[in-house]
Amino acid sequence: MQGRSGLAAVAAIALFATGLTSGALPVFAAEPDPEPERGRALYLEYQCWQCHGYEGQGGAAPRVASVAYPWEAFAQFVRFPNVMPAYPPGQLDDDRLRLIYTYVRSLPEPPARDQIPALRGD
Amino acid sequence: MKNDDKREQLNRRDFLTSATAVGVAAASLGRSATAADTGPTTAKPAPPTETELANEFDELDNYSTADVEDYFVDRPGSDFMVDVVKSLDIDYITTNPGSSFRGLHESLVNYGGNARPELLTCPHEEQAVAMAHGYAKVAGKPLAMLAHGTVGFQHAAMAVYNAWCDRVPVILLGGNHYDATERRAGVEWAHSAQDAAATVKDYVKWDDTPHSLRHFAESMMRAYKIAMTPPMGPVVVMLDGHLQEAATGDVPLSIPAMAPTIRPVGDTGAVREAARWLVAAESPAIAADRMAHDQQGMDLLVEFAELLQAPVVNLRGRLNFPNTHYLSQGRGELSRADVILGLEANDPWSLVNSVSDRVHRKPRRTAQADARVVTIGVGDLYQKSNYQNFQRYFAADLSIAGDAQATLPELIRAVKQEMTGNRRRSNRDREKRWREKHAKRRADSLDAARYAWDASPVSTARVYMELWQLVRDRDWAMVSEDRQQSSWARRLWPLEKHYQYIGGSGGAGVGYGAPAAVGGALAHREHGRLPVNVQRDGDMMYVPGVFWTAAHHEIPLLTVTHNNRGYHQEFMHLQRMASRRRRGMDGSALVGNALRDPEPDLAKIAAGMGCWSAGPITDPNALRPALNRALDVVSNGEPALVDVVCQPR
Repeated sequence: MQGRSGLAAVAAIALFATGLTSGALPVFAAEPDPEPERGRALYLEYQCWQCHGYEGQGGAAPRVASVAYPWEAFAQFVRFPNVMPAYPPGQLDDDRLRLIYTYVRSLPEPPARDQIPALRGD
Repeated sequence: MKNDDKREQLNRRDFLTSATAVGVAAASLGRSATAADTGPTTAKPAPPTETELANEFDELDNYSTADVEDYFVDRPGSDFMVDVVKSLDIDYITTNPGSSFRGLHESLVNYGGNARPELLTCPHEEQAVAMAHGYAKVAGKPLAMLAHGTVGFQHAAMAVYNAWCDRVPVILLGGNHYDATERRAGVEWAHSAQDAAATVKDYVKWDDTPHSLRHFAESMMRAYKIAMTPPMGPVVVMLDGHLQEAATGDVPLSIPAMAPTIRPVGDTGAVREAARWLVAAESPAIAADRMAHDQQGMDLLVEFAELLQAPVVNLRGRLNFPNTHYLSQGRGELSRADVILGLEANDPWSLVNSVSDRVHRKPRRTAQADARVVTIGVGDLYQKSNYQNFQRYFAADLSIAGDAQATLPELIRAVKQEMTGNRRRSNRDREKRWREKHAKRRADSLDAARYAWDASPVSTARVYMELWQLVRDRDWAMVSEDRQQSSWARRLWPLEKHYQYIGGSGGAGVGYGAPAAVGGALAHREHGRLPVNVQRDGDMMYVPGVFWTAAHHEIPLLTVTHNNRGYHQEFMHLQRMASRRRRGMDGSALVGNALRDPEPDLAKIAAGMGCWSAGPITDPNALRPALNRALDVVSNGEPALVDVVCQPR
C-alpha cells in the first residue's frame, strides 16, 4: 500500500482534474514565468539535478522533463515524497518551487527517435 | 678473508700435485717442508683437515666451501614453490614487490621463466587483488596475488572483501618471517606478524601457514580446491621467508594431485517439491543473482524459464539470462508472482520486502501476501559472522542447499515430469504476454534515451549508444557495471553471452572498478575480444596506477569515463540528510563529495600512466571521433581512455 505521500499525490491530481484546488497547496499562476532561467538556477541550486539530471531526463530518479504534472501534484510530490528527500516550505518556499516547476515544464521535447540514428533500435 | 688473500694460500690441487719425495705432506701435519727433507719417500700424503677443506677454493670462482655455503643456494625452497604453482594452472600472479617474498619472486622469474605464471606488476596491492577478481569472473579460474603479509594485505584488504562478498576465487600469497631469530633488524620486523592472515581472516574462506615445503605443496592444493568450491571465495597461503630462501635439503619432495570438488546438487525430493509448486503456480517468477558460472548456466536457465514461461529477473551478481530474451523482465514482476524461485540470491529477504530510507525504517512486504519463495543456493553452506554481507534473515518456504547451476538439470527434469497439458496450453498465453511486455520495455528504454541526447554534460545514454555503434560488430565484452549510469547497457545493449557482463564488486567497495576492468580485459585478451569499461571518476581516483599496469603489460581495454565530477552516490545521501534536518539543501551536498576546484584531469592521469587518452569531452558531438581513435589504439593491443564529462546518472 502506498504511504501518505503517494495517496496525497494521487489525490492532488484528482483534485486538479476536477478543477478544484486544495486550500493547503499553493495555487499556480495562470501565466508561465517569462524567465524560465530563474527556475533553472533554482533547479541547480537546490540540487534537483543530482537525481533528475541537468535536463530533467532522470537517472537516479524519474524523468521530470516532458511530464505534464499539474502544479498541485508536482508540489505534493516535492513536499510529501515517496522516495526522494522532502523539501519543506522552510527550505524551499512556494514561490521558488513554482519557478522550478515552470522551468521543468518549459524543457523542450527531445528529437524523435527516428531522428537519432543511434536509437533506431536495430 | 678477501679473495686475493685466499689465492695466496695453499691450493688443494696444487698441494696434491706438488706433493713430492720431499714430503710436502708434512705441511698438513703442521710441519713445514724444508730443503733438508730430501730424497724419495714411500709415505702417502695425509688427507686434508677440515680447516684445509674449508679453505679450499673452487677452481673457477675461487670460493671456498664455507663461502659457497654462506653465499649461495643451489636449490632454494622457492624453486619448488614455483613447481607447485605451475601445477595449478595459474597463468598470472599480480604483485607489488616486497622483500618478504623476494625468494619466490626471484624463482618465478629466473627458475620459472616468468611464464605461467607471469608476474604482473601492480603499483598497489588493492589493485592486484581487484584485477584477480575481475579476471576470475571472465576466465572461470583464479589468479594468484603475491604481497607482504602485513602491509601488503593491509593495502589489499578492501579488494579481498569485495571478492569475498562477490564469491570469487583469488589465491592470496603473503610473505612473512616467522622465526624471530632469522629476521634482519628493522623492516623485516615491521613486516612480520604471528598471524599475518589475521588482517583478512574475516573475509577469506581459508588460510594456512605451511611449515615445510611438503606442507606448502599440500596447502596450495587445498587452497585452490577450497577457493573453487562453491560458494567460491578468496583463500590465503602464507610464505615464510626462510622456507623460500633456504635450500630444499634432502627431504624428498613431490606435488600432490589436485582433486577438484564436484559442485553440490540440491536434494532430489526438495527439487521435485519445488517443481510441483512452480508448475502449479499461476504467476511463477525467477530471480537469479550469482547463479551462472558460465554459458552453460545461462543456457540451462533459458531452457528452464521457457518450460514454465516464467519471467526471469536478472539481479546484478552475474549475467544469468540474456536480456534480449522475451522472458527477461523487470523486478516489478516479483511483486505479482505467486511463487518466486531465487537462484543464488544473496538477499532473498529483499525479493519480497523492502525497507524505506526514512527516519524510522519500516519494512514493507512488496510481494503478494501469500506468495511462496523457494531458494536454491550455496550461501547457507559456508558463512562467516563478523561482516554482515549475508543480508537479512529470511525464512523461505523451501530452502534448498545446492549449487543452483548444478541443480538446474535436475529441476528441469522434475518440471518436465510435473508438466500438464493444461499448463502447456496456458503457457502459450503467458508467452504472448511476456513478449509484448518485453518489447514495450525495450521501446520505453529507447524512448527514454532521447532525453538530454544533445546535452552537455553528456548524457549517459549518449555515451552508451555512441559506444554501441562502434562495438556492435565486434566480439565485445563489458568489464564494468552500469548501475550508476541508469543501467543503459542492460536496457539497450544485447547481453547474450555470459562473458559480456561481469557484474559489480560484491562488497560495494569503491576502487574495484578500474582494476577489475583491467583484470577482466586480461582474461579477454587471449580470446581477442574487445573489452569495454565505463569508468566512474571517483572510482578511478583510488588506484589509477592500474592504467600503468595495463599499458606496461599491453592489456587492450577501451575505457570511457562516466565523469560526473564527484562521488555522486554520496551527493544524494547528503541531500537526504540535509532534508531530514531541514537545512543545507541548497548546496551542502557538494562538501566532502565533489571532485572539483580543481577537476582532476583523468585523460592526463591516464596519459601519465602510459595509456593513450583523449578528453575531457563536454560536447557530445565530439564523442564519436574520440571513440573511433581510441578504438584504433585498442585494436592494436593497447589500452585507451576517453574522458567524458557526464550527467550525474
